[in-house]
Amino acid sequence: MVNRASTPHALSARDRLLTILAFVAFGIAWMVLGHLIVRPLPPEVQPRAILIRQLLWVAVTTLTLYVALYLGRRRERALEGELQSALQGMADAVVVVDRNGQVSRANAAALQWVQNAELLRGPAAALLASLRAQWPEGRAATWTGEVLQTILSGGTHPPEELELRDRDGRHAILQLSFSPVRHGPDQRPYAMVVVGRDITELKRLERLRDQFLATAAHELKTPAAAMKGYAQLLERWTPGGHNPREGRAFQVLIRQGERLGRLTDELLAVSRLQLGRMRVNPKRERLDVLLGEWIDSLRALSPLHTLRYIPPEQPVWARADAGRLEHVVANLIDNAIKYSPAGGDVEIRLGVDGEEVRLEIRDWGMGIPADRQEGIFELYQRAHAGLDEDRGGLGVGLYVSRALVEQMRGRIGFESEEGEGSTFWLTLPHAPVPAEEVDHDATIGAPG
Amino acid sequence: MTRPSVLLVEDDDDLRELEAQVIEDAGWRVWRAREGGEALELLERHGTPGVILLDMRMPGMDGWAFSRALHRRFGNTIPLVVVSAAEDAGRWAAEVDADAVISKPFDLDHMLGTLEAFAPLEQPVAP
Repeated sequence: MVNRASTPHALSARDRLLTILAFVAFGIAWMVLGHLIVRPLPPEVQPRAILIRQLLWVAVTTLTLYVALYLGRRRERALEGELQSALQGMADAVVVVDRNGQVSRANAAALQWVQNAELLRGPAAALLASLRAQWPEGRAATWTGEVLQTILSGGTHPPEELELRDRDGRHAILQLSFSPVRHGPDQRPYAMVVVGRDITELKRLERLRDQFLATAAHELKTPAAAMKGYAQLLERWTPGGHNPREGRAFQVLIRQGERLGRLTDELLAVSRLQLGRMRVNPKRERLDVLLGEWIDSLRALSPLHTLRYIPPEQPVWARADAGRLEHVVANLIDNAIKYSPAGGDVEIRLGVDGEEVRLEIRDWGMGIPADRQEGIFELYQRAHAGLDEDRGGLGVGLYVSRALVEQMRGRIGFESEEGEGSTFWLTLPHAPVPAEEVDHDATIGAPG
Repeated sequence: MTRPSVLLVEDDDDLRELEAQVIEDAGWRVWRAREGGEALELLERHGTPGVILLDMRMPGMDGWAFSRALHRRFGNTIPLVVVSAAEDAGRWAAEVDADAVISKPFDLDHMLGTLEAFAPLEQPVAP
């Protein structure tokens, strides 16, 4: 079925050979049979019989050819009809634009978006203008022909989202995707097919989900604040508890309250990122000092681990959003601790590498299995999910970290070997102090 | 000498009580309000506090409406500290012209430090 659909009107090579052989066999049989019929006839009748036989041959072959052609045409028409009704029956709007920017074909779903069906037979520019649509950033959508040129020259164009109103005035979001129509032996694109999918409902649900996430995270932070606060209050009233067990319990309450706060922060960050409302304001910051402070405040995370900070010999300045970067560093250190459950060192290094500042966080824990390393920066992806080494988590920390680092124009990555540990690194734009600002006591040299 | 007072506006009962306990233990007097309207009434009744700790999202009169009313009535004379769990806390604080912001979940020492900066306790009071 699939095969027939892909080469519908061409006979297979075997069928073609069989047809020719059948035709040759039929011709030979006709000649032999004709000869056998004509030969016993009286000689005076023979010329007429031969004439009749030849006329009959012409009639039979003509009829055969006609029937073959007729059947072929009928098959083609059925197929064309099938394709047409498939195209017309599609829920997505389909518009084919030829190389001159004219709409050459459109389906019924496309009609839902235009005021006048005539627009589906004219220039694509007029069609787009009639939609009075906008790109998501609010820019009016006009036809520039750029996308058509890209597609015709064999390139690709990512899908675009178009905000518009349908014929009934309902606000809608259409996702447009662009692909080439190819033909000929070299399969060169000669037209572009634009498929418009109504994603209004999908977008509404996405927004709803993100709003829910933001509200849920906000609602969770209040109890987290109360929990941590009351634990701190208990610790204040009875420092160290009435006995060591109670003291430890206070510490656990405080630590877990903090953890809950951080988890909800992560959830909030995800919803911000998804809504495109995460604001990052990089400024010139002195990283070697900030990093030291952050690491000091993270030492309480685990009594089993030693955070070893190896600061650079000279001050290091980078363009970063300090608050966001602290979030990323805390996240990477928390991971390093989580995935080295036996305890030990977590080493943090900072240095300058040309135009970049590089920060490395290394642990000697369980590492990430090679087959789990791909896509660990994806949302909800958890490298150790389902393994004995699974330490839980939401699977959003690295996603948020990457997004934040990239918004600061940096990069993030890792090297890891199972059983040997992991090194997560990130880079940020180096922002050395301009020469005129360097005072004489400063150890930093003028930027090269 | 009277102890400086703190007007505490917070809709979550547990959190309000926690903050009040810690602040009272440290030596300030605390006026508790569940939302902006209640806070304004307290201001009318008791006069001006040393500092106001303000939650932003509250049922009834929220933090924005309260700070507008506050500034109309008292100008910028009373230090205003926004306490919020929202990631936008910093922006909100700027919107209502606050003097400082504390994000939840907060650290008790950090909160007390902020209060001390705006309404210093003249004489230490034993807990």
